[in-house]
Parts: sequence; structure tokens; C-alpha cells
Amino acid sequence: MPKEKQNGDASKPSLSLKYILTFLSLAITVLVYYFWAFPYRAALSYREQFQLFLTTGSYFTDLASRPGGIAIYIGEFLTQFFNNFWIGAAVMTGLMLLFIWFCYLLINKFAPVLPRFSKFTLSLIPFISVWLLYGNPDVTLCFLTALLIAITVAYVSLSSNSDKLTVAERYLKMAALTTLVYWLTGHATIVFTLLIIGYLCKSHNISIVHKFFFALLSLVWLAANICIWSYTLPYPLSYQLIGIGYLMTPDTLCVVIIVVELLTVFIPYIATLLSQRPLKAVAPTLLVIELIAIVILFPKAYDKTTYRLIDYDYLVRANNWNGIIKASDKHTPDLPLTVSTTNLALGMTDQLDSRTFDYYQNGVEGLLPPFAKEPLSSWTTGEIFFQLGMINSAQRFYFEGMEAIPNYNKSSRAIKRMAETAMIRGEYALAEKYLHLLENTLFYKKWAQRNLELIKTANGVESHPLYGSLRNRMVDEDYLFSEGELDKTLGQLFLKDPGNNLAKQYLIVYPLLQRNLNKFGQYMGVVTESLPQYNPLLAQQAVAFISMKNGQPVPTNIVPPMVEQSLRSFAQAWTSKNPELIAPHRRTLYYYLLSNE
Amino acid sequence: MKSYLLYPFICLALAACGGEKPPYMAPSTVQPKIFPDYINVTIPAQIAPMNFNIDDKNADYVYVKVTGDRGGEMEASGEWADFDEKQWHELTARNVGADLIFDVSVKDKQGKWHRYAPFVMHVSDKPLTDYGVVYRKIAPGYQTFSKTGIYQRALASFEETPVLEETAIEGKCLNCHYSNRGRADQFSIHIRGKNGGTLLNNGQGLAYLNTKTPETCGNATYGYWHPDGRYIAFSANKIVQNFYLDKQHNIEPWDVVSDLIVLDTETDRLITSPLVATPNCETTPAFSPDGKKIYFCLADSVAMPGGYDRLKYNLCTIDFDVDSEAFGSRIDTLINAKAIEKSVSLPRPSYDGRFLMYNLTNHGTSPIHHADADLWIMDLSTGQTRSLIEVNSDFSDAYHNWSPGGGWFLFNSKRLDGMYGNLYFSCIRPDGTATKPFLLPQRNPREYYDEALHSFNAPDFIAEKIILDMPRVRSMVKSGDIVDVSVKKSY
Repeated sequence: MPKEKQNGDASKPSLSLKYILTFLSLAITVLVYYFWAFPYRAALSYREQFQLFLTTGSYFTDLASRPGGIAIYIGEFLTQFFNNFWIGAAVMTGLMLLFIWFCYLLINKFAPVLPRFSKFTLSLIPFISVWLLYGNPDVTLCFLTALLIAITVAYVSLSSNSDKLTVAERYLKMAALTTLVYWLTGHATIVFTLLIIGYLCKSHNISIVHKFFFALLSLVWLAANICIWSYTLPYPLSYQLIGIGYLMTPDTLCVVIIVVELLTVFIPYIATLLSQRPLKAVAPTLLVIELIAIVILFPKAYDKTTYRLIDYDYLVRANNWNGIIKASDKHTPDLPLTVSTTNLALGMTDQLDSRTFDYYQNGVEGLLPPFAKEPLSSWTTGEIFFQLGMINSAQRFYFEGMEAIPNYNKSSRAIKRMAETAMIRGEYALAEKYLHLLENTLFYKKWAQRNLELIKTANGVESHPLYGSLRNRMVDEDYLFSEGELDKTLGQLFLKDPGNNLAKQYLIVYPLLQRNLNKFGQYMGVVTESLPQYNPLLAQQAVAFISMKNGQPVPTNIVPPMVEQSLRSFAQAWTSKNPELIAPHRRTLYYYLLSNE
Repeated sequence: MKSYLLYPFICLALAACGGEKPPYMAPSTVQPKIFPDYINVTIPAQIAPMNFNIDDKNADYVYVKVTGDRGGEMEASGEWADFDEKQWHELTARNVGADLIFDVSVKDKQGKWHRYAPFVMHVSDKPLTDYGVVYRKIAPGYQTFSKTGIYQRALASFEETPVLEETAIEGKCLNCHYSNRGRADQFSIHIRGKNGGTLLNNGQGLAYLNTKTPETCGNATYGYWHPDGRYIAFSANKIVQNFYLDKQHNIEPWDVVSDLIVLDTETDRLITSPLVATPNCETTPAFSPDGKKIYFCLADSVAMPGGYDRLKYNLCTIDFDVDSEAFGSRIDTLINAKAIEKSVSLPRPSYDGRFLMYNLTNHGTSPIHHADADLWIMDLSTGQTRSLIEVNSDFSDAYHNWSPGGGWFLFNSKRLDGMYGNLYFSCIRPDGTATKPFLLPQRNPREYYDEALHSFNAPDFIAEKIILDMPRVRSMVKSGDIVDVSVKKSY
């Protein structure tokens, strides 16, 4: 059995190995930063919008009064930086590197004689598990914060010289630290407890009986902490066991979290075993295994469909309409949220009345999705209403979305939009309330202060380029929202402001998506009464289709020859019933009207 | 005791008293702008310190000296006026029936002091002896609610404790809490969702009831206890919500159908009558203080949602006989609101039988969603009724309830921002007029009310602190161990 060396002389790497380790560390840093700053930046915005971190004393004391609250506070504090993805990616990278570092230190503590390269590759295992865990967008940063606190305290505790402690002092130290860590982190205390038990069990100077009692009492004391808190916490015991605040869904058990915790605890033990039986090529083998694990598990962890939705949500939040169209050109939008945001983006860039059927459509729900008790869908629909000028409905959907956040958090994104809807509606006292709230944040403070000035300025909101025009778009008379008659509302919006291009396009496309050509004719009549020159491509195609269907000549003053030609080409393909001939026409209005797909 | 042990306490005491004081200067003629507006309000001597903030962005530091007409004084200074609880209560107790004079000086960010004209708060000689208030904290939203919970707040301090939070019963939605004249051991709470039911304590222990029956139109919704503590009058409502598109309104809840029922908490039986279970809408019942009749609101059914602005409720009464467990045979109309194009809701008689407070709106049955909702009061001895203009605001004022000890009432008002309902208190004089209402005091009111994203829903006084057997409640809800009520029809 090799003798443990406190200074780890045996683990000193050669010069070339030192370069390899430095290179690997740098490569990981760059890779992690690139990962969060570029392809997965939307995931940062996604997490940031599900909280409203306030810098007030009461926000801190509310959280600090319950176990795990400090980890939640720090996690939320750090998550607010995700508002800026450059800083957010740095925060994410920093935390993950810190995690690798502490894992390395713990491995070094358990197995100081193990070669440095092996320690490094071993410390990558928990890191990879954390990286994969954060593919689940519902896992909050609070978990990583809690885990870091737990292993930091464990490391500091193991590093302090406990040999001189009496048995009673050792138990007292364990009890005090367990209570402290439980208050700081909640559920992640199990990592701390198992690490200190493991470290004690590793010692050869302590009797088995002592080890057994220490392990037993450590676990019992942890259980006692959980039980004591369960009397005062307004949560069922199961929530405490799952980990309050670690997930956006407080009642869901995330198995990967358990796996991460187990790996964090057991990798140091494995390091001890490896140090006792030196094996050749441990590190390269581990590296290969780790790479294979990443290749196999990454697609599952970072589910493409989920991240496509997150990307769209991010683009909607940023009002990046061209970005949405670009994404839809790259991958056909086929989910309700991607369809409706593509249509919004087309409308915002004045392309909806010509390009709607370039993309998959799922009926009028693709224009104005029905209410769903779910934040992303609510906020996306709220954004459609906001841009249309249905400010009340936008306020409602943002409010509902915020209230639907499963962990009961409030939302910076929703509060910001609700402050705007209140300003547009002229509810300045309400706007002030929301703006005062945002004044207590780091990233929205200046915006809030600017808008507080705006509402105090005479005609400030009226003359604001966005708020003023949206206020003018709002319907004036008492009017109830009716999900089945939204086309009538679109008509009202257009009549109120014929310059409302989005309402105009939605009004024209709405009956086409219903395959109701009579209604389309009526709505076109309403629009052309105000805008006689209005004759978009979809209107030309619809008129050509109606004429051909009714056996009438296609009106050449409305329909250009190219459109007529395209219809004739479609008609030939359709009547042939040859799927190969029809296929090129699948993304046309004609196909949509006839196919019932 | 060794003297050095006292040093920390001496330092603390010095720090507490050592706030910066303004130089002497003559007061201006202008009173300070404070939040909440506590100027000239009437308070009970038992109320928590009426802390306030200076409503001026340029204010950096405030110094307040409070002097009692009948003697005593205290000071507070800092970022806001934060009074010491013990000193405050000593001062208010000494000045019952007299005025407290507040002399406010403010140092601005440039370091310049301003001394304002003093203002007063009147300490009422009517005591408010209840322990506190109970309310549901809920987002004043539309269809989705985040965390809701029933909370109790001490009136003499800032202590707020949960009675029941929805997180404690795994995400079930909680309806309002109804107690019998503020009794902590007689209350009902409806829990919605899987295994939902009505949690009830009639003083003899907890029960969990399913009040939805084939013979009634819905769950027991709006409740009011009979003074003897055995019966609860409920309306069973099927509520639908519609949303406005215009600038002024948000939401319009309405009843598809609603009937009156009385629950016998000893036999778990519902008592109904065809007179109050009609196609028309009967809702929000309240027993008279002698328990012999029920006040309720009644509207003719109209085609909804189109007819939402024609839905007008009258204030009616019907007898209820405890001995025969039967409703009376006649409905009397107390206020024909429909005739004046108005709608009545939430009748609440004072426990001494002198007054009846109710809401008047242009239409509908949900005053918290109507900015035009005002409180009205009827003198039950003369039948005269009037708007409580001294209390009402331009926003919704509703969910009123009387203090069991008499003299005080509370209500929910959206006057701060039009959206979030907050809790106000006022004192009623013998002639039926009310004092200027004051907002529920908080340690740091500006911070509290700015950060609060909930309404104080259905508030009521409670005589003492409610202690709920949480493990029992959890097990009842989790197991779905629920008792189905039976129905007795009275004719």
C-alpha cells in the first residue's frame, strides 16, 4: 500500500505533462465559455427571465430565513448576470471551473499520491455530469451554488487539523457544520455529510466502532435537521428531500442531480482506490471514456427540440425578427410556439401577407395561440398581442406567464413588459410600482429610472415612438376578449389605426388560415377601403384561386401573370394526383386551401 | 453582574438614540408628503407603529418627534420613520382619545434640512382588541395564480405568520378563509385541485368536506357563519371570467349559476330551498347578527357574456329558522339596485346590528375587479343608506368586514395603484360616518408595498392567533379522506 504524502511529491508532473494540463485547462475554459456565449446563450436568457432578483434587504432576509435560502440567493444573484450573455457565459464558466477545482482539491485530499494527471481527469467526471445536468433548462444555478458551498465547507473542514480534537469536539464540529451547511444549501448537505464520513473512514488511526458511530450520527443529525425544519417550512418533506430551489419544478425529482451528487462524493473514494492500486494509463483511459460519455449523452441532455424552443423564445424576447426568420429558414417551424413566432416575425418585417405559406401552418392558432398555463407560450402570445396593440391582452398574458412559473418566482421579463403595458394604458401608479421594483435590480435599474422620468414628463408617453403609437392602436370602447372571434378584434385594430401593418396582415391571413375565402373577401374589402393600393402576394393568389374555382377569368388588374402561371402549374400538379408533382407546391396557399393538412 | 457585560447594551442604546438631529428652525406651512398617507388618520391605541417614508426622492434622512396631547414623546430617525414598538405603545396608550403630533424634519441629499408643518394622528377611544387580521395573499391576476396562502398578521406588531400556504399542501389552490366573528377555532377554507374540499373547524376539530353534490350547482364558495357556530351560509357558484380589450378594465368574472345553501357543520348536511336555488343568481350570503335571516344578493339571469353590463344584483333577505332548519317562504328586497342601474355585493352587517355595509358597482358581482366599486353603509334602524365617501377612492374598495368588538372595520382597496388590493382600517362613529382610513402599517412601508406582488384578499379580523394542525391537514388533503355532505331540501 503506498504511503500517502501530504505534499503530493509523487504526483508532481513532468514538464510536458504540466503543459498538457495547462492546455487542457485552457481548452476547457475556452470551450465552456464558447458553449454558453454562442450556441447556448439562449439558455442563459431563459434562466434569467424566471426570476426577479432584488437588491433589497427584505429579499435577502426572506430567503435567508429558510434552509437552502443562501444558496438560492447567491444562485439568483449570479443568474441575473445572464441578462448579458458575455458576462453570463463568464459566470457559468467561472462556476464550472470552480467546481472542477474543488473536485480536484477533494481528490487530492483523499488521494494525494495519485498522479496529477489522473486527479485532473477524475475531477472532470463530476464536471461533465454537471455540464450535462445543465442541459435541463429547469435546473437553476442554485443547485450548483449549493453544491459548491457544500464541497467548499467539506474541503475546509477536512483541511483543518482535526487530529487534535477530542471525540466530543469532533462530534460537535460535525453537528455544527452540518447545521450550517443545511441552512446554507438545503438538500446538498448530503454531499458534505458523505464526504466527511468518507474521509474519516479512510483514516487508519480510528477504530471501526468510532467510524460506524460517526457515520451513523452524522446521518441521523442530518435527518434531524431536515425533520426540525419540516415543522416550520411551508413545504412537504418531499420538497426538502428533492432540494428546494434547485429546480424550477419544486415537486420533481431530478435523477441527474442525484447522479451529480453521487459522483462528487464517490470520485474522491475512487481516487483513493486508484492510488492504492496504481494502474498504467489511467488518465488517458479516463479521458477517452469521458469523451465517449459526452458524445453519447450530450444529445439527450441538450435536447434539440427543447433548445429550439428556447432559441425562439430568446429571439422573441430580443425582438430579433430577422433572426427568427433565419432560424425558420434553417429548420421548418413545426411546433405551435415556433409557428406563431415565425408568423409574428414575418408580420413585423412586412412579409406575412406574402410568405405565410412558405412555412408550415397549423391554422389560426399559429397566428394567435390560445391561452396555456405555461410561461413561454404565454409570453410569446403576449408579445404578439403587444405588437398588435392589444395591450390589455399583452398585460394579461405576461401576468399569467409570470404566475405560471412553477417555482413561484416572479419574472424580470414579465415585470418589465407589464410596466410598459401599464404606461401605455396610462396606469401610471401601477407602472410606477413595477418600475420601483425594477429600480432594485442591477440590470433594469437604469431602464426603470428612464421610464420613471418618462411618465413624469408631460406627454412623455404619448410622444414616445413605441408607447405612443401602441396607445393609439388600442381600441377605446368596452370590449370583451373572445378567443373565437379574434379576427373581429383584428378588424377593430385595423379600423382604429389603418397604419397598423401587423393588424392588417393578421386580418388578411386569419381567414386564409381558416380556409374561409368568403371572409377573406370581406376583410380584403375592409382593408382596401382604407388602403386602395394594398394588393399583397397572398391576396393575388387568393383572388386567382377564387376566380379559377368559380370558373371565372382571373382579373389581370389584380393578379400578375406570374401568379396566374403559378396557380395553373399547381392546378396541373394537383389534378394529376401525382405526389411527386405536387411536392414542390406543398408550401403554397393553394396547397393549404385544398389539402386540409 | 460585571459592569463590562453592560457595555454592549449601552452602546446599542446610544446607537439607537444617537440619530442625527436637525438644527432648530421654524416649521414651514407645508405638511410633509408621507407614504402611507397617515396624516389626520384615526388609529386604535393597540395598532403597530405607524411607520412612514418620506415621499420625496431627494430626501436622505428623516427625523420625527412625536408628542402626545396627553403627554409623552418619542423620536425616530433614519432612512424612514421607524418607531420603537414599545415606546409607541406606551405613547398611544397614554393618549387614548387625544392627538399625537408629528413634527417631521427631512435632510435632503444636498445636506439641507427642512422642517415641515406638524400633522396629527388621532388615537381613538374605541379599542381594537382583536389579535390581528387574516387574509389570503394572492396575485390579483386572471386565471393563473402563483403561490397563494392564508396568513395572519398581528395588529400590535409587524408579525405575519402563515395559517396555510399552498406549498404546504403540494400546490393546491386555496380559497378565502371565513371565520365566525373572528374566532380562531371556527373557520372554513376551501381547497381546490386534486383531493380538494372544504377544510372546516366548528370548534370541535377539523373536518374535510366535499360540498359539491348532484343536487347543488357547485362547491360552497362565499361563506358566512351563523352566530351560534353550527351553521354556515354559503353560495355555491360556478364562476367564469372574461377579459376586456379596452384601456380601462381588465377582467369581468361572473356566475354562470349560483344558489344559496346552508351547511350544518354538525350533521354535514346542506340545507337548500327552491326559493334560493333558482335559475337566477343568488350569492354572497351573510347571517344577520341574531341569526334569524340571511342577507344576500340576487340578480336576474341574463345572456352572458354579452349581457355582462346588465347583470345587476339587488340586496335581499330571506328568513332562516335554526330550529326547523328551513329557509323562510318569502324573499324581501332591501335595496333595489337594479332600479338605479347599480349592483350590490358583499353585504356585511355589523355584529351589533346597527349597520350594514355593502358594495355598490355599476354591474356584476365582483367588486374587486371594478374600479367604480364603493363602500356603502345602511343604518339598519332607519333603513337610510349612503356612500361612505369619506372612505371611498377612485379605485375598487371592497371586501369589508367588521371588528367583532365593534367600532372598527377593514376593507381592501386598490387605491395605491389600481391593481393590487391592500388592507385599510377605519373607525365608524355612532352616526355612521367613518374616519379617514389608514393602510396596514409595515416596518418599512415603501419597501414592503413596492415589493408586494399580491393582494390582501378577503381580509377579516381574528380574535386570537389561528393554530392549524398542519400534519393533520396535510394528511387529510393527501389521502383525500373527505366526507361527502348530504342535502336536505327545505320548503
